[in-house]
Amino acid sequence: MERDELKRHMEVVYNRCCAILKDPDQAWDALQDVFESFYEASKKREIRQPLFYLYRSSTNHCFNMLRRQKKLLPLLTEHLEGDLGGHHTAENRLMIDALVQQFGEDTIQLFIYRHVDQMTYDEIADLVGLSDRGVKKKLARLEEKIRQQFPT
Amino acid sequence: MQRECPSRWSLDRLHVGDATPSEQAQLDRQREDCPDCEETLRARKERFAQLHQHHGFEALLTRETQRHAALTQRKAEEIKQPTVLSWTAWFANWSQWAGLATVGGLAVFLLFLRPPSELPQDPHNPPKQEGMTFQGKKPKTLQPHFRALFYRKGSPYSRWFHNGQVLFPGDLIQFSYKTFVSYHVMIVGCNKRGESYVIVPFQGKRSVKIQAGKGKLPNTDSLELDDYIGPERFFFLYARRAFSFQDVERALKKAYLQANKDLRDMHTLQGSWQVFSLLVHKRPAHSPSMSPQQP
Repeated sequence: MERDELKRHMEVVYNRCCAILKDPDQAWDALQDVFESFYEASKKREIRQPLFYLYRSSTNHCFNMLRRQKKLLPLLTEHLEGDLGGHHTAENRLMIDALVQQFGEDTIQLFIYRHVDQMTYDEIADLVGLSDRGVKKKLARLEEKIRQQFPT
Repeated sequence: MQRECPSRWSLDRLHVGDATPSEQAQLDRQREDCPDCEETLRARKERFAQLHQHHGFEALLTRETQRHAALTQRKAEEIKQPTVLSWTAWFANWSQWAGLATVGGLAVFLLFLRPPSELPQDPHNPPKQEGMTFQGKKPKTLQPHFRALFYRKGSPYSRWFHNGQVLFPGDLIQFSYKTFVSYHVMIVGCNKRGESYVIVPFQGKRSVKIQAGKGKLPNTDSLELDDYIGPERFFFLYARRAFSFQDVERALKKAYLQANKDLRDMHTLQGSWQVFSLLVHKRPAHSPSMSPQQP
């Protein structure tokens, strides 16, 4: 990767980490860790789609940071209202640990792609290597469970 | 943000140059008409500026650039200079005698097992030329090298296939490449009816990025040929920017019509990419003169 290409990827990762972590200092730390892991991975194998790798890696990293700090998942309230049916904010109720324990890390990552990154089902499918119907089904099941767990 | 506004993912793909020209045009149109998008982009710019102003950013960027440049160079050198083991080192290391004997034995074994070098060819439709056809401007950097490998059930090993190769349904194929720079690539096929389809990437309809070095496509699997019988042309497309199957399909249709629906004459595929192509002939496996056991 050349300098300009790296710079653009760094900007993207930093922006994303800020969006998830809501803290520029932590996002900076996350950026360094993500690029360290990207370099290590590049040494071992060829990474054909760096952005895909960096997205997954930054999600995992930020996700683990939030878990360690017992923070909340920063979901877009307006996004959730439509999908989860409530007029209140679900934001203050979605504790990550509880979600992971119940639904598994992979599904919660899909949830982040959908509700934090506002990705379409097609885009998520592309990123995680599932069919768009598979992604839709998984997310629908998860959202249904969240609705049941946190009734309006 | 409205539902139809581009997602962060789309904007990020656009930012790093992974978006296809059609996606880029779509995003540009959307951005012009939408105040929400304008606001999103402004916030992104601010965030990027914040990163640039971070006291450690330049150092991090420089370090990563140097590390990745060194890595790319190392990989390129690995291609230029295939690993040659020093005989002195081999002889000095007695523990490797067993390995040497095994390799030697295997080489002799493969020598005796070597099947006929030519596959049976259709006398009515001989291949126009050996090797791959190349079309498009010569790249500024060293040209990547693509090859295709096939394996036939019952055969002792797999082989490279050439232009005009006869293949049978059920044959397994895999593509290999060597490149000195990273490229976005896609492999597509077109049959005699002009139907086109994506071979690589296996999922999705956007080109995949390959880094400098050598590798296989698909990476770990091979593809089994279907029951379609007749000529088929494989196109290896590569470009420095991403592209989508939609763009390729359009170019394929045009080329197919220009060639009067004859795959043998499909030499051009206009677009933002460069192309290698290979014509293959798929025959029924039960054909007496072309038994799959005896290629």
